[in-house]
Amino acid sequence: MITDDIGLWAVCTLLALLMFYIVKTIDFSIRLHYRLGFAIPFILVLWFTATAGFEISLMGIYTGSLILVFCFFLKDKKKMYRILLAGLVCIAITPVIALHYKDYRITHYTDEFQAGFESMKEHYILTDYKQIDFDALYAEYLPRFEAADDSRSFPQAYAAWTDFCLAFFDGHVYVTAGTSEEAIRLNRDTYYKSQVGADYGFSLVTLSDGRTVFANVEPNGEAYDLGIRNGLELTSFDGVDIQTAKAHTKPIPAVGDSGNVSFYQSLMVTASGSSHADLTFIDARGTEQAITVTGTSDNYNRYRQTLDLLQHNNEDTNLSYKMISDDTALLSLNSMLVEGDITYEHAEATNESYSGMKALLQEQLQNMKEDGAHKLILDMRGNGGGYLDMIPVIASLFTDSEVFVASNAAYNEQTKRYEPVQTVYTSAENIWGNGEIVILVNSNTASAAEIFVHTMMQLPNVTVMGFTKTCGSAMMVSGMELSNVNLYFSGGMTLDETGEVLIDADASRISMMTPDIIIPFDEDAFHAVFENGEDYVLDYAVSYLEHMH
Amino acid sequence: MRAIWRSQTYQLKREASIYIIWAVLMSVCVCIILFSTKPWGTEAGVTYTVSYAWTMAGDCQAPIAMFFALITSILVMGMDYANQTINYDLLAGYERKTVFFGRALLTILITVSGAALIMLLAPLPLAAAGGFGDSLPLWNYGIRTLVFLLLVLRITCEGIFIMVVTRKWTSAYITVALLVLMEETMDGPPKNELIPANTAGAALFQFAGWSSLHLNGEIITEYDATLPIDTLLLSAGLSILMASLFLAMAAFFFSEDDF
Repeated sequence: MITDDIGLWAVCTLLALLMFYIVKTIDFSIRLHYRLGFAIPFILVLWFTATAGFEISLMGIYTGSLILVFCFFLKDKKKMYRILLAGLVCIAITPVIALHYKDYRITHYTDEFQAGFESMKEHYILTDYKQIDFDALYAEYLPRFEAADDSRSFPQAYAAWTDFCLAFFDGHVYVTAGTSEEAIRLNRDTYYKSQVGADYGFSLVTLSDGRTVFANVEPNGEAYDLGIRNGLELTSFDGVDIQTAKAHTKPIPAVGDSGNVSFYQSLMVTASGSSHADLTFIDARGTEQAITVTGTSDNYNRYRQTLDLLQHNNEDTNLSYKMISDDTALLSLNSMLVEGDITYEHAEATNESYSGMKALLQEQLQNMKEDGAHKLILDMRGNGGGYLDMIPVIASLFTDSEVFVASNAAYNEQTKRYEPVQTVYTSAENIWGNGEIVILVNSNTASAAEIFVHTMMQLPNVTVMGFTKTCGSAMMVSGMELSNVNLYFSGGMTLDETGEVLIDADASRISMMTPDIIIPFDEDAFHAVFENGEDYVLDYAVSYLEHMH
Repeated sequence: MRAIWRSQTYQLKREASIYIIWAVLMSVCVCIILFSTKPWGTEAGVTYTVSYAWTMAGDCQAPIAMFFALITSILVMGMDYANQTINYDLLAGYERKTVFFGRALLTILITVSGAALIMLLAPLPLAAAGGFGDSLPLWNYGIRTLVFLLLVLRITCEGIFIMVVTRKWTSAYITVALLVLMEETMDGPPKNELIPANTAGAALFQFAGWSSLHLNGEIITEYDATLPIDTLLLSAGLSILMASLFLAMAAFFFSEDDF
């Protein structure tokens, strides 16, 4: 940007100087077209401002180029020289002004935040339900955007936006930044890298009995050499007892249910650490040890590895299946988008596409049954949702009666309540039959996916299980495009069959949908996941189905 | 000037190219609107209304109307250069200012009225599919369009200036093409600034809009209908300033030029 401005200044200055020479040597009464030289800097300014944008400190160039245009109309060469000189001076002094102007090319993150905030305040659908105090949020986060303006730091502004969104405890409140998937991911990863602290050579996870233990310990690293092993209990970190340390972490990566937050809380404990962290742990002999570990680089890679092991998101081809035993099929449903397209581009939502997806799923179910399957595991871990109208299409293949999916609602000014205006049910096609179905979920099973899970849970032959609840975000998403980010938030109300808010947590921060089985993340699970690299949740589901009959 | 005006009007009424250009661009605009909104689709109810098409004006109707203004201003202003009849007016004793403004004002009238028709008529076919709807109030669209027509005036004056300087259609259109090419080579997406004409058009039709995807796939988009008074006033002021500047430069050039 600065180089663009310097380029514009240099070109305008050179043109003005050139015009001095031209005025001296050219007879304009004959060579009329040479007068255009007076207008070219002005035309350049018009063209340049299209992408560089208006900048007040460059008023010298804008004014100077406009002054030069007046020379276009003059016939007296002396007057031309004077006005040309005035224009040249205006252009020439611009860098001096720009360099001393503290708001030069400043991006007003504060203005952007205010615009997004005002819109959210007016349109966020769960303000009363979640008891959101917008005024308090404004007071808390405005200074961060002001600081971002002062330091002209987009990462700072993006972090402020993300933390602001986390405060809503709603998976459907988030920002993205960037014009491509890659750019969006890069900005998001940059944020997480800034949040997860230093790498001490281990991660921390919480077992179902409440203990916080080491996981993903770097073999032959400093921590390992000091006696830290997978599964040993940490009692304090950086001088703070572990429960207190966990209480002060951000709700990353899970938000939407306090239980999910608790499950991942330990991962963020090391974010509070410094370059050298003092910690106490119970060693293999049961004795408490105190050591100091060194933090090196950032913790992001280890954080991601540990998270991936815990979440075990389904990355198979959407709607693909495989037989995992003689009578059990594993079907991948990791997206509610057409044909497994997991990009965020708006797929053609036509009946033809649904027919194609539905036909594929019908075919898969038929093939499974022909292969001998009468038990089904539907892996929806990592299914971030998608199109809501896919839900009845998919669910209808498993239901032999009309099952409630959800209602969307409008606010009734008289009753002061949200009341259903449209209710969706499945049809009754039941290709699968009555065989047992287990649906695997995790905290990334969100939005349309968890509404689908909610629908399926009403069937007697369906059991939902996972280490955690689903994400806890089932409202309709609204979005607004701001200057540097796109802001998304829950903007449309979804209700369950009783007329209450569907799934989303209220001020208690407990989401309204609990899987049939929360698989305990106990020592057996820990060792299976971190020592043996097993998919414990899937194994648990297989074992569950085997014990069904 | 009245005589110049009458002769120009007589000539231009019978000039099929203006009507053809308008009709082609109007058709393109209507097609873009229809293919963007797909009112014939069977998917669950996206709102195909005229007022929804109004919210698309910054990306659809406005650029096409500006394109029409630029092409037509060069075409109309340049007709008498092409057939040398401009010399006859000068030889007949009319002042250069009279000859210039007689043509320029008619050019402005044609381009502004053509652009206004594109802005108003192009979304109307959607009335048959979804009616007028309530995405955006008519008064809101009307005020923005009025300010936009000042921008069309500015673009017309720029086209008149280019034509007067180059004196040939091919030269004028090549110059315009080069300017557009220069803009396309700039790094980064265009910002909605009011100083350049192409982004000023989009800036006039910016809405704080948001969408909600409902259960049956229906996308409800609500728009903040608040008029950005500052933007509109600034745009109108800049348009009048630039139009005056380019028209004055063109008039000066015409009065000094050697025919």
